[in-house]
Amino acid sequence: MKDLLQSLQKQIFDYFKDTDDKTLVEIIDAFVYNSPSNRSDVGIIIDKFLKDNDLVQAFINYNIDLKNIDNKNVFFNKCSLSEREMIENIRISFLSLAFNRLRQSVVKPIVSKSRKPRVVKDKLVEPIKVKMTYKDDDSSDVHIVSDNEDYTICGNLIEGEFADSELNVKSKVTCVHCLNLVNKCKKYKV
Amino acid sequence: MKIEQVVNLERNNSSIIDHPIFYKGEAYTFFDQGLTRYVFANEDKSKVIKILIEKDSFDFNLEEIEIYENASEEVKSKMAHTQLTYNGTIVEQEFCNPIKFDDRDLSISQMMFARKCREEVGWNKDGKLVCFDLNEFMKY
Repeated sequence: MKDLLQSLQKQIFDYFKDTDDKTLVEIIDAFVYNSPSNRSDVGIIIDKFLKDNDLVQAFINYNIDLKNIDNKNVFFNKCSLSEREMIENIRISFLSLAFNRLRQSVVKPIVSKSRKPRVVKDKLVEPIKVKMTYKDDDSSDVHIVSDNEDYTICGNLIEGEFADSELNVKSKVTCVHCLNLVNKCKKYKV
Repeated sequence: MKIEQVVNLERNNSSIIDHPIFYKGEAYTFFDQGLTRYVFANEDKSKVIKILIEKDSFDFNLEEIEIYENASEEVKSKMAHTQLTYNGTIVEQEFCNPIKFDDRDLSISQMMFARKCREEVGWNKDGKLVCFDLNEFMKY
């Protein structure tokens, strides 16, 4: 069995899906907060809703009981348990509908058109491409080149190897500055 | 187990739900259980029979048939067709699939009807929502 309150809310959402926000506010004022609207069309909409769903008698009974709510001798003796429950569930559903409208107006749907750069804490993070350059027989002139900066690195890093060789560089670098740089660069494919 | 055996039992203990009951030439198997009665359905799910759990207690089968027979035709149309058989010991009723076993959507007025009958309502073969536990009909 489907959850009845959930099912009821869905039907209320569907029934009032074409009702504009202003009218909906007036309907909720009248139905939930017992504050009648000055607009005649609001009364007509509520009447139609009650008739369409065989709720006229239940709504009348509920409101009679509500008027006598302070009188303990006649406390909810007009409408049945199921009528009271239904009208109260409809009131909850109206509030739920109102919140749903509010949420729709606040939270805009995410439109994904094309792949965009990832934004972290308002900072644009672009992928960094890194490459190593060096001149023959001059290990002191090795550069790690990124998109933004060039770094000169000491000769310990390559120590007679070619820059594009795969090296276990961590074991060969003793300079703290270079080690930090290497560790930083190891995050990227060199 | 034949229906005559069930009728002659002093008390219908829970073991009877493990066996089919032969009633009017058909085998009825256990379908559901309420507080006071066991319900068995035939193979093509067109009929059920209701058997009292406690025979010495209030006769809910008799009460159910009295409610049905005293109802107007308009009210009867909201009830599952019901009759009493075997000298008033067995209730035979048209099968309707209880809403607790069914995922069909209910309209608001159907929800109201269901709540009025403590959800003891179901869909009959014509797709109409009817009350099957007449002792609960429109009580709430």
